[in-house]
Amino acid sequence: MLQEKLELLLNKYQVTSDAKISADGRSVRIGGEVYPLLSHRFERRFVELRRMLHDGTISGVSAIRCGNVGTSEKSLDELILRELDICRFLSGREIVSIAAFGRDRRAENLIAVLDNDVVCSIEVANTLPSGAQTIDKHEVISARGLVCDRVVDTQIPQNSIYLYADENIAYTDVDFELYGLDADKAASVRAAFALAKDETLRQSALCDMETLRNLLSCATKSAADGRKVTI
Amino acid sequence: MNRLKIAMMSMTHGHTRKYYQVLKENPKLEWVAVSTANDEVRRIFKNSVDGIPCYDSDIEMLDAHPEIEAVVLASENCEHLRQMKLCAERGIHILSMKIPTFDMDEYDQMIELVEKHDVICQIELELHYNPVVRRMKEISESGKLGNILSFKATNTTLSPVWAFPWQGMPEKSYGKRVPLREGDNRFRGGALCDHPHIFDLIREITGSEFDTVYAAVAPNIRPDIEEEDMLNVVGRMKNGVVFSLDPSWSNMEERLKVPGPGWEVAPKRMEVNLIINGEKGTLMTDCFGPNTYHNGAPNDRYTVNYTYFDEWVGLIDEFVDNIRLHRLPKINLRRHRETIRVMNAIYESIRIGDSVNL
Repeated sequence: MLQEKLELLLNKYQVTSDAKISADGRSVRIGGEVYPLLSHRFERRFVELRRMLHDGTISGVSAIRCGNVGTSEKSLDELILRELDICRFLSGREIVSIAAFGRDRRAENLIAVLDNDVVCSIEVANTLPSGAQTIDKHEVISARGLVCDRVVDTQIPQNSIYLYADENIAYTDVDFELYGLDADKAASVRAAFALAKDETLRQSALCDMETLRNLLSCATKSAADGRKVTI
Repeated sequence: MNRLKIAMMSMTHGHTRKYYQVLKENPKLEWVAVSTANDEVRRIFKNSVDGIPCYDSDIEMLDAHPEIEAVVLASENCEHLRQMKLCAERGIHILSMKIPTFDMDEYDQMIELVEKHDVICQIELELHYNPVVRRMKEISESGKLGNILSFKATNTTLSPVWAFPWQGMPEKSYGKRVPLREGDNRFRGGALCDHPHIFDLIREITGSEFDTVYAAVAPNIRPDIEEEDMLNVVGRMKNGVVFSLDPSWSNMEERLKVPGPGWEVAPKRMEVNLIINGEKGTLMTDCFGPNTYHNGAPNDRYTVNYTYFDEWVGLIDEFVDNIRLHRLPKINLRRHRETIRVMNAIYESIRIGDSVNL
């Protein structure tokens, strides 16, 4: 399904590429090289949050709050890496220190400080039952206003359609061209398509992943002894 | 049972208004008098409440009303020891605000005073009387979540410093001027001092004590106040539960002198959300929801209009019972001492820039 949708975009926009997206949507092979897909960077909510941080909608950023609770199938490292990168992506800054406290590879809380002193709090866990919808929330607090990807006064995601019938089902369709994919999968295909088009983005993805692996290693080190690690 | 004759002192604390209704309506109480700290506070009180004698000094009030059995110390933190002495030496029972003092020597003097004079001293940690917290505790204790892995809590509000100026003065809020860290022009006494609840609730919910804390203070969103307004704390309890606690003043406010409609700039003025991740699942709690919403007067701005639970009803009921039965309050000075010690350790973590073991 992901490859089919990627080819739809490649054909429609006449992009010549041998891009093959992995079944899990986490990487794309292009010209024999495998590139990581930081697909959250292509989710519209994060693109919009980032825009509002940089176009003057808010100013004087102080703190970024990230929470992500997934199902037990998700690895904690995957969640940590994603949230660390969301802090980098939204702010356009680098992380200079991390303090992490984790338990049983099921839950971890981190504080990451950016190179402009902004404090990022990250809480992740993989404690939801199988099949549950991921619960995540991202909020940026500034001297002039706040931005958030969740409705005011809520902690959990909303959906665009709720069907109450023989079974209760919720749908969130975010991409007409990629209709049928949920937001995560649509973002993966968009990320793969962007990399297929742009060599610079491909190199950036490699650099970002190297940085993130280093940050993850620092988080692991910090979680082991409960001390702050300076990057 | 005779009605408990109760008074209030200072009337400068942010929670002062919370007592007006319960002191008037609770059939177990007879509200005898108040003493006010200054003319401004006296004016505000007289505009809010009718028929309660109001005195300029604590001693004047106590001398005029020897029948007073209990006092709510609705005062700035730096006044608490002096007022506790006044009360304890007269055998008057005490309801202390949430921060008795941050000075641990003073704190121990308070314990000694209360025990020597055999008076009841209850600490006002009203979330213990919140129905959502009660439900959360029941679920947690039921085993439905399995063992607790992590605990996250927010206790975020607007900053009260414009309406309650002492909270913006380090010497009145923290008790002295202590720089946050070398090279930082801010002092202890801000958002952390305003929000002890989550540092207490995690002890209550997990049944464990703090082992390690790490805190980071962020750039102020109110650059013109001299205390911290944004910070986050992570760490571990002795039973292995890891936590993330956010006591920030992250909800921006209009700088009103008297709290009221239009206080909010951020849509919400206050939030206490608690999340438990357990081996068998996740529990998410909003202690003050669901709410109502409007975008009307006075600022035509989308606003969360709270449907407050009244924690003060249960709190006062328990306080009266503790006095009548001469029972040690659950939230007593000795129990709360550890929470205050942990909050000081958080400031120490900010000062050294690393974790602190407790």
